[in-house]
Amino acid sequence: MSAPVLSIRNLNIDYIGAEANFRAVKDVSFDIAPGEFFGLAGESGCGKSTIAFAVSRLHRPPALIRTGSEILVDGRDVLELDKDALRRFRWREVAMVFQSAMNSLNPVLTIEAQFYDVLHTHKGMSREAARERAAELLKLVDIPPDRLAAYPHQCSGGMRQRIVIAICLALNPKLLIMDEPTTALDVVVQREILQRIDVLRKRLGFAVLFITHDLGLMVQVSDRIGIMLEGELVEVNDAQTIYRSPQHDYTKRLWASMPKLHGDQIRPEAGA
Amino acid sequence: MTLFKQLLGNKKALVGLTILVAIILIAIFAPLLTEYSPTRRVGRPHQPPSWDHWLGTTRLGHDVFSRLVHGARVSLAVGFGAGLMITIVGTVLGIIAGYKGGVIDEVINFFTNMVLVVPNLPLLLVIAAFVGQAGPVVIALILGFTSWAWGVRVTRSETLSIRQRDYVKSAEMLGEPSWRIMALEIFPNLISIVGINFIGSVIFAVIAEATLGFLGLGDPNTVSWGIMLFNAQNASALSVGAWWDLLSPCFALALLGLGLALLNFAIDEVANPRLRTGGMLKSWSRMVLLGEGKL
Amino acid sequence: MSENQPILALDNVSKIFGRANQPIYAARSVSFGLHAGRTLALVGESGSGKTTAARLIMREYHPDEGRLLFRGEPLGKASAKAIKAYRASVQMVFQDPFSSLNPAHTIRYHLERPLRLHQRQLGRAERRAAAEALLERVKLDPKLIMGKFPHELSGGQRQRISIARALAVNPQVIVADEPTSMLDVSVRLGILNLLNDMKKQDNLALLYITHDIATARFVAEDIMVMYAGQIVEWGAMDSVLDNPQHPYTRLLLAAVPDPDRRFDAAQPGELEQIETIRRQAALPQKDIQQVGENHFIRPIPDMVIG
Repeated sequence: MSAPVLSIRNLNIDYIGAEANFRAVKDVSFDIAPGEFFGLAGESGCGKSTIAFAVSRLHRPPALIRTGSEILVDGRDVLELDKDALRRFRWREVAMVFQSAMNSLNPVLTIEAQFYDVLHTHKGMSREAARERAAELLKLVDIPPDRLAAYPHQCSGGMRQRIVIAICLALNPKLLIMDEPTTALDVVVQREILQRIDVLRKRLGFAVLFITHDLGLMVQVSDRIGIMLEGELVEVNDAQTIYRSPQHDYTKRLWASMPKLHGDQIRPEAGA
Repeated sequence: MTLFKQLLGNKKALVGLTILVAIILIAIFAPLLTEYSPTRRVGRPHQPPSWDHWLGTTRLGHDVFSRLVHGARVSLAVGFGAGLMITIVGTVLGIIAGYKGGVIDEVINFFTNMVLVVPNLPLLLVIAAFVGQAGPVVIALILGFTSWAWGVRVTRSETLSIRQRDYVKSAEMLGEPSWRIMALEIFPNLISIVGINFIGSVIFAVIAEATLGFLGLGDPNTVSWGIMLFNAQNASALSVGAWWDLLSPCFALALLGLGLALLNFAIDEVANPRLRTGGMLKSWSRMVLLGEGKL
Repeated sequence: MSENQPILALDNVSKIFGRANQPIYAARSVSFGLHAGRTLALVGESGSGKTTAARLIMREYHPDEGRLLFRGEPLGKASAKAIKAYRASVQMVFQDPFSSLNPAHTIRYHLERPLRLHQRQLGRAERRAAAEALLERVKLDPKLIMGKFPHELSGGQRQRISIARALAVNPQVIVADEPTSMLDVSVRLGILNLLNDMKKQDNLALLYITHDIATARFVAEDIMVMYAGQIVEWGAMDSVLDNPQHPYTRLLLAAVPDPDRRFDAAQPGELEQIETIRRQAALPQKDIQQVGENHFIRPIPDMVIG
């Protein structure tokens, strides 16, 4: 592919313990092309969230990214950035939507204040300029600008999630990392949000690293999918290829564990 | 129980327990450790520490070491006795208020707030002064009756969060009687809070007793660390250079407090695994320094 | 009791919160029956009323309108003895494997307690044997599991123990409230298959509550779709899923991630349409319309059938 927007090479991440270390990510390498929707799937403990945190360097001890790992965003190694460069890098190049993003809005600040926080810190915008930009961004996610004066608790869960996405897009990042962004939301709301992301992606051109355990959803929305098992990336391919002709045993087992909504049901003996 | 096993593996717990057990043993075997009576004049006034009198003598010629180890009995008895009372009352009321809710909760809260609002120490002073030279038993009782309120609050709020859990609902659906649910489903999950409450109460009671004794409100015919402080103060021990007279009970109190506090930290750590960093942080820092990785 | 009479039934039950002038119906005129040997799936989004229905059945809530019928008899004025019998007959399997077992007690305690309460005739040794038999039924090895504490076991193992605990009192009805939503994908089918097997072996009536409609199709013969406290569509699983009639059901089914269908972009006006459907579906509907052999809906005004 032409210069990937995210390139992960030989990523090894350990969790240091007093007696023994736990290797959460084992020699993982993959690329994401500009504007691509890449899904990272796996069950709990497989390391997908660990990777997501590592890209923005959000880890705390006892996590340790081993020397020899490379995380390149637009060619620059994120792991080599100093504090200032890192601050400029976050939000501008890479933005992250967390699993509990609905709770990552400050409950004592209005929506407008939350936007101002990001816009002022990273672009030095004045209050008026920030308000205008915020209204623009809210329009992107179909929220009326009068919501700027509201507090997070006055908005529904789905709306809060959309607001977080709007804030993430404030600085036009090249990569949006979403860690289980719709897990706590109902299917109808989930579909609305993903539809919006799709539209925005085509319009603004950012790539998405989408992490979830919902495999059906993943196949529907992703261009390419990576399957993780216990820290290893066991299979990477186009979404449809992974779904219809999986190569790895684990991937096959995963599909065999998914009841179907229509058509032939999977065999009941599967997954015993 | 696993909690105890984990505690024994914790360094802070071991040190704290050692100090505590040592002090308790010294108190129990006090008469065997010294040939002197704590209330009899056995030497010349204000003698510095010597082979005869390991911690010297007081102004009245009493052996300080003897008073210290005998006084330990009273201080510990009042401390643990009152501590036990405070904890039992606080825990029982807290669990009942938290689990039963409704009117019972309101009533208990009302009384708790009443007791909570009254400032503890002035109340103690007033009662002790009223009773006159309050012996250790009276002091323990006074402490027990006036200091349980905070424990109720803490226990109640923890109970409130536990009673929402599915395993409590499951027990209710099974038809378990209320008392059983409170005692056997909820209480076992409160043990670390109760333990911390207990140790905190003991520390409080020991210091409170020392305070009352120091202020002269205790019974001068008994020996406790507080009374020793009172006597030392009256004798202007420091000004005349008899530092052993005043500093002995001071250090004893500080040491007991240290032991109990360490135990408290340890219980907290064991109960809340997120607080357990210890060895992990050391290994981690070493690896970062060696350039083996970064955040 | 006739062959077709449900073991447990809700008859026009409503649960109301809020104030008299501003009532909020967590459940509105809910009626359904649970039959021996059959699984009924209750699906809906959060806030739809499915959890309320579960709590009404488990008697955590009491109906404000309507009544609960157990073996044909209303439960409202039942004697203490009848309530005890009810407790032993209706058991629940909870959603969260991490909070459904008491961390302070061993698995042995969790299994022997219900036996002690509801099968007093058993002696100590018999009780021990019964508890071990329960573990074997849920495919766990008693020698390995009995003495352990919950935190030493995986989520899947804990759910199996929850099921064993529910079976300890020989119930007739099991309410499974999202029993697999907090488990890993590869473990879910095992638990669902287990529930299915237990149902067949003991001829249980199973109420399976979920937001994951695909799993509902896997385990249940009948389905109810709830929205805003009302059951909007219900009937045989295949009929409802292949030919949904209520606009809300259609909306819900279209939104379920289906790997066989490519994700479709939003149509113009789609958002407003969704809002309208939600608004209309939330209005109280009294009428019931039959749209198939075992397929009913609560039609919203101006609806087109077919």
